[in-house]
Amino acid sequence: MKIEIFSEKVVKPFEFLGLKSEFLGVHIETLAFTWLAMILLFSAVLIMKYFLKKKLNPVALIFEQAVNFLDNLCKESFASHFKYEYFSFVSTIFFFTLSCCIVGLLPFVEEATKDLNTTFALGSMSFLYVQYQKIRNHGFLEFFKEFTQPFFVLLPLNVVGELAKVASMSLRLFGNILGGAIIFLILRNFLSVYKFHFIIFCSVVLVTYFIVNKFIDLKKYKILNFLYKMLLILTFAVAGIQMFFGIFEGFIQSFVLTMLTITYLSVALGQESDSDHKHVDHDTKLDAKELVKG
Amino acid sequence: MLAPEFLHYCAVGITVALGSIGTGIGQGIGAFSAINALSRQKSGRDNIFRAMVIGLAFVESGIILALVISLIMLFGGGIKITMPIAIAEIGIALAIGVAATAISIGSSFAVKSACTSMSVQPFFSQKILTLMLLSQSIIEAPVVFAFIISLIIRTNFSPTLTIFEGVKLLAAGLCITLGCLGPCIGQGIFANSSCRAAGLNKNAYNKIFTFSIINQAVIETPLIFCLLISVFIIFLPVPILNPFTSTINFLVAGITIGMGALGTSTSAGLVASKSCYQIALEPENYSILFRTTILAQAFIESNAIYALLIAIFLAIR
Repeated sequence: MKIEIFSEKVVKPFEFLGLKSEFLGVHIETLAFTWLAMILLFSAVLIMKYFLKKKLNPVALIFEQAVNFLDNLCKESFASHFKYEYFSFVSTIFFFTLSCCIVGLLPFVEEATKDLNTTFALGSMSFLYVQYQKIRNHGFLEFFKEFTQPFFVLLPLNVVGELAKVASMSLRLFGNILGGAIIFLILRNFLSVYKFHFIIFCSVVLVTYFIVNKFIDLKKYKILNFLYKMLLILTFAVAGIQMFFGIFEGFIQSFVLTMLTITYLSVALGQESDSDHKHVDHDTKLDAKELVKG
Repeated sequence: MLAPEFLHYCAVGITVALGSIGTGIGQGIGAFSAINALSRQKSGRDNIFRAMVIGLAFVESGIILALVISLIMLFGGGIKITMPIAIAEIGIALAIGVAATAISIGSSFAVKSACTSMSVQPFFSQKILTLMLLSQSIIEAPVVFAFIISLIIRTNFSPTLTIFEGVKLLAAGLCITLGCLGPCIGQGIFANSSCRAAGLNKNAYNKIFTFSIINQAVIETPLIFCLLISVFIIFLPVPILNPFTSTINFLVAGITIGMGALGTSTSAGLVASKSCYQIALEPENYSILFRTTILAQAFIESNAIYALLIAIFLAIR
């Protein structure tokens, strides 16, 4: 059993100019998968545009719910500092990371976030955006003053602490997605040894299930019914594992990345103080209305 | 003095013996709390009994996997046992045995608090059962990973295995052994409080459910790093020049990420469990509690990520 982990195909486009540095190499597979993810995202946008023109249909509702969810998340987190440019940045990060993770579900395609370069780009992008907003809102002087808090001696420690955020953000995403991909690779390699047995087994189970179901009422024979359900679960387990690590893990990790971006950004913009009181007032009003109704 | 056969049969025994410790304790905790709950609330008898039976079946699944591995080692046959193979088998035994012990104690806490919650709110027991099953199925992950790693280690056995490669495979086993302890403790603490919190305030159930799905995935993160390093260790070759140093590097890399997972997962679980109780008490503050928890866990788990970084550098050196 062999598993290829470090099988990145590196192409050096500037080799004919005599530039043979490792830095100029392009991971061609990751690039292709990222472009595929971008095409998927763009086609999703086009589909959404088509469906949003029609009134009252379920497809538009799904997209609206997804956008509303992020919108509410941003409004709650930024409170009085909320601007739509923050929302657009945060939602871009979320949807791009999610599509990069989900693209691994397609045949012959692997996750683009499996490559450390992609996740490092995402992490450093969110870090740089936070720094940019900090400078824009508070000015250069405040920005440098923050690094010398509480004493000037702690300057190097603060700088290292800020840089560690990038490392932790990008490596978290990378580790999780690569772990999921490796688990599925192992499973696939294990299956490929017994590939024909497995295919025959699956088809026999499915065919006999439908034939038996047509002639016999399975609900009467509880043991037979239970046995067939177990076999069906086994046949679909392989797909289920990929679904789990593709959708669930990808969704959770991209959500965590987004949450961290939002939180760092809201800390950088300044703490909300008056907004919490507003929130509480709103709730008590609702309660009072319900009491009046009751 | 130390015959390879001695180590081989030790490994076969240790696998089941280590696993049975935790399974016994875990099933004891589960059954004890179920009987306690029965005596407190007699009207919820059927539900509590069902929760106990399903929960104890989940607790037992670790030792069943350990038994399978043990039987494979005993009757798998076809391989002449040499010293490197015996050393690697010790790694398999430790990984699957410790993982089985840890998951059974961890998932027994979910049964415990679910039974208590059912005795408090007998008409809400169906949803509490769902939450308990979700927690338990996520707690199972370490033993499944240990099982996968054990099978991969076993497929690498060959008569031409050198002593360095044997120690390398032992390092892969040790990595999972140490790494599964922390997530199991953290998950156990969190499952205990999430099932209890669903019983405290049934109106906050939906919030607690989403909260527990996301937090369990975050607590499990160091375990996935351990799996990553373990697979790296198995598939990276030992260089012909200077094999001794690189073997030491593999051992240290496994221990580094294992130790890194131990503290971080435990404290991430602690943070999440406190926050879960608070959500049950005041569901209107859900968003601020959720954000604070995720941020705190990000800070805690960055320590595991530093360990991952060092372990990767050690492994590929």
